[in-house]
Amino acid sequence: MSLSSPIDDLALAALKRRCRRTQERVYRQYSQPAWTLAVRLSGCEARAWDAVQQAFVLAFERIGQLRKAEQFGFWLRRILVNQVMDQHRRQAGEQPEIAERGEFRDHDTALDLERAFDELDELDRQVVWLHDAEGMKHAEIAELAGQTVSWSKSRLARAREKLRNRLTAGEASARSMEHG
Amino acid sequence: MDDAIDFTRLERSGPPGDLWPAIAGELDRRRRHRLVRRVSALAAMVTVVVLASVFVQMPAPTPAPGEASSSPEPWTLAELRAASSRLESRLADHRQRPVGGLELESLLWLEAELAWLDEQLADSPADRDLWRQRVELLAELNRRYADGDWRREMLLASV
Repeated sequence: MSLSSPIDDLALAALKRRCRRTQERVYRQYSQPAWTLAVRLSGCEARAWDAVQQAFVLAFERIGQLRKAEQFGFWLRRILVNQVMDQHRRQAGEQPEIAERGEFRDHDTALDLERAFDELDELDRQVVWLHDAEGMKHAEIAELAGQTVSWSKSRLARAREKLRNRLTAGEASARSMEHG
Repeated sequence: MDDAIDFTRLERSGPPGDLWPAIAGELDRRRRHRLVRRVSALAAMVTVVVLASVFVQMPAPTPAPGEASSSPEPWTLAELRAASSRLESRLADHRQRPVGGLELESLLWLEAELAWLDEQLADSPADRDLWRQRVELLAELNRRYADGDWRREMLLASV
């Protein structure tokens, strides 16, 4: 299940009637990809919690604005990304939150990627995830971030480079530990 | 997209179990808030409508006995006699003042009418309708005398 999965017209009509059972069913359908997206973008479960809660509340409250049922997932994703980016803008002037990261003692490609991704700057993390994991276009990312397309492209290139460098460094370190 | 990072191998966790109750609670809170706002707006509208209808249906201020009135008032005989007495004492003051030629004819006619009513009342002293007519006539006489005073003062002021 992903955020691009559609809902049917009956579900949309029920959401417009504010049917609580349908709201819960739709939440169950989209909560996992929404949660993953929020956690990846914000890098913090507490902020992801706020963003996902607010996104679903806004989506259900403003459901009257949605015309096509098949666009619900994309619409929800847009609201969610907006929420995370708003959080980022609000907290830009505050002290950066220390992310809860575990100690990665064992070498594992997935864990390396997880750690390298977590170490990225928040904006880099948002751009690379939205582009490479969610498949969003630069124009869309730029619009959500209130930036230009070239900003999105250069941010993506830089984020990818940082990730690859960290992954390469991690692999080299693991190899030297194995041989040494 | 060739350079894209493959994130599919990352673990995808699910949301905490208390997230849906929080969302449902927030939706309920907003629904209640909307309801309160709508009820308040409705109450305000109803209040305005009720007040407007009260003002529209409110009867005109009840004139005192003897004052001009378009509809008969349910005065008791005692109230009519009291009003008649009050108006008559006021009329006595007016009668002491000089009367202009313009008002004289109508005043004489009304005074004759009053004399005729008094004769009728002498025969039927408990006739409420006659007393009501007397009160209205006295009120009219007082008004005519007062109008005459006002016109005279205006004439004097213009000299």
